Amino acid sequence: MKEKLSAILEGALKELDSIQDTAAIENLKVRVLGKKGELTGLLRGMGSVAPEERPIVGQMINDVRKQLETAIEEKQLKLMETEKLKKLEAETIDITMPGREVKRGTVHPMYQVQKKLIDIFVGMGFTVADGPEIELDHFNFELMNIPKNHPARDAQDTFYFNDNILLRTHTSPVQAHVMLTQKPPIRIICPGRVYRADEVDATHSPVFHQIEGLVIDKGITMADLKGTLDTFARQLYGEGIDTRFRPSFFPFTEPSAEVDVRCSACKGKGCRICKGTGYIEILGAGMVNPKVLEMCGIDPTEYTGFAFGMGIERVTNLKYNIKDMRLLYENDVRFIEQFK
Amino acid sequence: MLAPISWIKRYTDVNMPADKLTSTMIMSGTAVEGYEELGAEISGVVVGRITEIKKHPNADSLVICQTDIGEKTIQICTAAKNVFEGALVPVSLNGAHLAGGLKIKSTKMRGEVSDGMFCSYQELGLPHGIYPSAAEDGILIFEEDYPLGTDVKTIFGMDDIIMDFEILANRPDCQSIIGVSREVAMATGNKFNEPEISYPTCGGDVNDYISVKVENEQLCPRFTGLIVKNVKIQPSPQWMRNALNAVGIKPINNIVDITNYVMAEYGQPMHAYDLKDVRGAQIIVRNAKKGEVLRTLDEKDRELDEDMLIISDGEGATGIAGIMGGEDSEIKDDTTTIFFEAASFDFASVRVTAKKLGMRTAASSLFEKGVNPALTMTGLRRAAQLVCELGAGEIVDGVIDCYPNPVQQKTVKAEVSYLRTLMGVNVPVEDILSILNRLGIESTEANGVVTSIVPMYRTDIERGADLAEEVLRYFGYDKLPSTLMAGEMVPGSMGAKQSFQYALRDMLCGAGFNEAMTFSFISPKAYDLINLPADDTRRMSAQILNPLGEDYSIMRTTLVPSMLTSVAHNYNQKITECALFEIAPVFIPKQVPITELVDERPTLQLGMYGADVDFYTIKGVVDMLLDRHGIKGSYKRANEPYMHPGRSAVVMVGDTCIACLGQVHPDVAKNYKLGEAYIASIDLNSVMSLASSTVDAKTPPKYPAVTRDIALIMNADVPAGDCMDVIASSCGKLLDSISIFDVYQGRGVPEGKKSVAYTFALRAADRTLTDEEINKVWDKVIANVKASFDADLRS
Repeated sequence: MKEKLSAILEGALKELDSIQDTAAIENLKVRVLGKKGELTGLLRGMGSVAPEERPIVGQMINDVRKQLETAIEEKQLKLMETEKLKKLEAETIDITMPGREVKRGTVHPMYQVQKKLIDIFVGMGFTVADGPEIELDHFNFELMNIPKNHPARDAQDTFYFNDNILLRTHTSPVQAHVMLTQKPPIRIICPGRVYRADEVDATHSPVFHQIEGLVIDKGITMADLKGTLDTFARQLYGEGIDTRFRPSFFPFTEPSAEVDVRCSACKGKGCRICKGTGYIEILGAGMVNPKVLEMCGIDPTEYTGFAFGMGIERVTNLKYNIKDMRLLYENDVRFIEQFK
Repeated sequence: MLAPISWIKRYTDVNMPADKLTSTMIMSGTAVEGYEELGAEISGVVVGRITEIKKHPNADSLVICQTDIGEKTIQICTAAKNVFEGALVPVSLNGAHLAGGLKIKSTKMRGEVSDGMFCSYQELGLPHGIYPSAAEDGILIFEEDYPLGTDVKTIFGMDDIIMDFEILANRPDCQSIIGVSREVAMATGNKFNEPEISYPTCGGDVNDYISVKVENEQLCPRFTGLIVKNVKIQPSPQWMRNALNAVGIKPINNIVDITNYVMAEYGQPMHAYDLKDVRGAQIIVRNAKKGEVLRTLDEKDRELDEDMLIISDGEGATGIAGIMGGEDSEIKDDTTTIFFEAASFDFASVRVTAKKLGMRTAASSLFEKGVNPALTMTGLRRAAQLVCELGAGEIVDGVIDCYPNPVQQKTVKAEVSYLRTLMGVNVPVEDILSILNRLGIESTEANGVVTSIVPMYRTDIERGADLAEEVLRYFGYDKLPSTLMAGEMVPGSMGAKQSFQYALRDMLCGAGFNEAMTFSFISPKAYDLINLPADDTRRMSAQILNPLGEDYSIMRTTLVPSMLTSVAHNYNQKITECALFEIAPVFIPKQVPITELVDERPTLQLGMYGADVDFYTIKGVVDMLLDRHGIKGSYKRANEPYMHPGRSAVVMVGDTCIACLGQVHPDVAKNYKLGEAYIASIDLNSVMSLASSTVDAKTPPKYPAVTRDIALIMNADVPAGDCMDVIASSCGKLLDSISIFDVYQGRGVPEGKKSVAYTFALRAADRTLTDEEINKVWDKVIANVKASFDADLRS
C-alpha cells in the first residue's frame, strides 16, 4: 500500500515537473485526484487493509493528496504567470508610432497677450471698460485736450467719416466716457482696437490694439504711476524688471513720460533685442492733465490721476520675436498654431 | 529739427561728446532722433596755390601743376581745364579720403609724378550753392584768400556735428536753434547767452516808404516790418552759407539767406519784398476774395478762397499768409529797396489753408505749430542786424508794428503740495525755485504757494501741472520713487463682455478652431464677391472719407468676406484642412452717409474646410456653442445669397435670428478660389443676452433606462429632425435621450421614400418602467409620426 502510494506521488510529481501548459495539469489532476482517480482508487481499496491500520493509511493518503494539491496549485500559478508574460510580450506595439491627433486650436497671439495684460491689471484692482470704435471727434480729440487743427493731431493720422465722426485713434476716449459717467475713485483699463492712417508694412498697420489704464482718486501721484508700471513689468517679464521714465509730451497728460521697460532678454545689459540700450520703449504715460479732468467733470483741485497706454501688437511682437506685423493679419494656420 | 553743434555753441558753451549730449537731452525731455558727423568721410584736403603750370610731355589732355601747400610744394597732374597759375584750390594729398569713399594716392600719370588731386565741390561732398562760384565741371577755385595748408573742412563747416532733435508738439519755441540751445544749456548745466541785438539806422522814416493795414486781426495778431535801402544783392558769406547748408536750407543770396537764417535761429519765418513791386506802396493783410489767383514763388497758379488769409498790395494778392510769397515781389538781382516782414498768423488758419492748397513750406510748418506774436519784433530786428553786419544794405529809421492786442505775460500760481502730489516726490522748495528760474520762469514762493512769471516764448506753460513737469524733468525722472496708490481697495474685474469672449475662445480652441484677426474695413467690392444683391441693406456701410485705398474704404457689415479671404489664403497654401474663427464687431449704420455713431455688434464668424467637414460638422459646433450657453434654437432653411440654398440654415430663438450657417455657395467659393467650405455667423449680443448660466444640479438617475430603436419609412423630403421632435414630444416626460442612427435610401425602400432609424431611451426618476408604460409610449409614437408625417414602421 505504502509503496503504491509513494509510486503515485513520485510519478505525479515527476509528471508535473515536465508539464508546460495548464490543460495538461487539469488532466493530471483528474487522473490522480479526480473521483475516479488513482488516489481515490486507493481509498476504495481500504477494505483490504487491516482495520487497526486503516486510520494510519487514510492519514497517509490524505497527506499525499494535500502534497499533490499544493504542488499542482503552485505549478498552475507558475504556468499562468508564464502564459501572461507571453501574452503581454505578444501584445507589444511600436510606441514610436505617433499618437492619434487631438484637434485643438490656438487663440490668436495678440489676444493671448491682451488676456495676459488684462489679467495683470485685474489682479491690481482694475476693471475693464469698453467704448465704440467709431467715435465722435469730441471724445477722441477734444476731451483729450487736442482741439481741432492742433499740431498734436499730426501724430495721429485719422480716418474720418465726416467732420465729427472718426475711427478712434487711441483707446483714450473710453477714459472720457468713464470719467463723465462715474465718480472717483476710478481704476479702469480699456483694451481695444484702434486705427491710424498708416500704410501697411512690416512695422505699421492701420488697425492695431491698445490697452489703456486710468486711475483717479484723491492724492494719486506720479510715483504711484511708477509703482503701478513697475509692478506690471515684473508681472509680465519677471522679477528684477523695472521701468525707466523719460520726459515726453501728450496733450492729455501733464507731466508726461515715455516709459521704457528693462529688457527681459538681457536684464538691462544691452542686447540685440533692445538694440544695446538695455531698455525697450513700450508705454506712454503721465498724470491726467487737469484740463482733461475739468472737461470730463472732475474737480482737479480735489482729484489727481494717472493714465498709461501701450500697443498690444508691440508687446506681442517683442514677446514672440515676430518681425512682420502683416503676419498677425494674414491668418495662416501654420503661423497661428505656433502660439500654443 | 536739425541743429549744428557749432551753431548751438554761439549761445551756450557745450562741450560734450555727441552721444553723451544725446542721452542727456533725452533724459531732460528733448528727444534726439540721431546725429550726423559732417564730412566724416572727407580727410586730407588742404588749401593750395598753383604756382606754375606746364604742359605734360606725354599727354595733350594733362597739365603739370606745381602747388604750394604751405609746408612744401608738390607736383600734381590734372586734366581740369579751369586751372590757372595763382589759383587757390582744394588739394587732396596722398592718403586723402573724398566723398563716395574715393581714396587718393601718389601716382605717376604718363610718367610724371602726381602727389595728389585737385577737387571739385562734388568730390568734397558739398551741395550745389554752398560755394556760388564753384564750377559745375571743373576744380573748385576759392575766391577768398585762405592760409595755404588750411584744412578745407574748416572752410565749409564740415568739422561739425549736426544734432537731429525731435521737437514735441507743445514746444514750438524749440523749433529754433535758440530754443534748443536753451534746453541744451539747461540740460548740460551751462549758461545760456541770448544774442544782443542792435543795429545802426540811416535816417528816414519807414512810414514814408510803405503803409500796412491788417484787416483780420484774429488771423494775423501781429504784423511787423522795416525797410532796407541801398541793398546790394550778392552771395552771403561762407559762414552763413555753411550754417544754412547744415540745417538743410539752400543758400541763395544775402537777403534771402538772412530771412532763412533768422527763421532757423529764432523760429520766426520772415519774408522780403522787392519794394518797387509792392504796388501802391501798401500792404493789406486780408482774406482772399473768391476766385482770386496768385502765382507763388514756386511758379504755380494758386486759386484762393474766402477762408484763406493773404498778403495783398494796392492791387492784389502778393502772398499767402504764412505759407509762400508771390513771384512778382520776390528778391531779384536788381533789387535796391526791400520790405522785411515778420508776422504772426493763426496756426489753425495756416494749417487749414496749407492743407487745402497742398503746400507745405518751412514757414507754414512753423506757423502751424504756433509762432508767438511776441517773437516777431525780435526776428525783424535780428534780420536788420544781419543786414548791417553783412553790409547788405542800410536800415531806414522806424518799424511798422500792427499789434492791436499785445499778448499779456502769464503768471501761474501753484501750491507746493499740489506740485509734490503730481510729481510724487518731495522736491525741496529751493530746488523747485532754482530749476524754474534757471529755465527763465521767474519764480518765488510764499506761504506754500509758488508764483511764476512765464516768459513769452513758453506758450505751453499755463498751470501748475506744467510747472510740475518742468521741475520734474530737470530734477530727474529717474529720481521718481515707486509707490502704490493708497486709498480703498477695489476689486478688479474683467467685465462680462471680455469674460464671455475669452470663454468663447476657449470653447472654440477646444473644438479645434484657430483664431483669426482681420481688418475692420473692407472693399465695397467684397459685397459683390459674396453675391449680395444691389439692394441688400448690408451694402449700406459707413464709408471712410480718406481711406488707404478702396480695399480699406468701408466698415464691414458682415465678417463673411474677411473670413473667406482668410480661409482661401490657407486653401491656396495647399493646407489640407483649416478651421478658423474671428470675434469682431460688425458696423451697422442707421443711414449712410453716417451722421451719428453706428451700432457695433460683436459677431462670431466661423470658417472651415477639410475632407471630413460637411454641414453637420459646422452645425455640431454651433449646437455645442448654443448648448454651452443654455440656448435652445430651432433650425430653419436660410435664404442667403452667399450660402448653398440646400445646405444652409438659420438658427431662430423666438423671432430672432441669432446665427446663420452652412456651405458657402459654390459661386461665392469660386470668387474666392476656394473649394467646398463651410461658414457660420453668430450674433454675440443675442447669445450673451439669451445665455443662462445658472445650474440646478440633478442627481444622476438610479432607475434603469429602457432603450427602443425605431426605423420609420417616410417621404424623402420629410425633415428627419422634425420627425425626431415629434417622437420626443410623444415620449413626454419619460424621454431620457433620443438620436438618429441611420438614414437610408435604396434597395428595400420604395422610390421617393427614406428609412430613418431613431434610438430613444425612456426613464422615470422614481421607478423602473413597466412594459405596459413602455408600450403605451411606443403606440403613441407610432400614431403621432403617422399623423404628422405619414411615416410607417419599417417592416
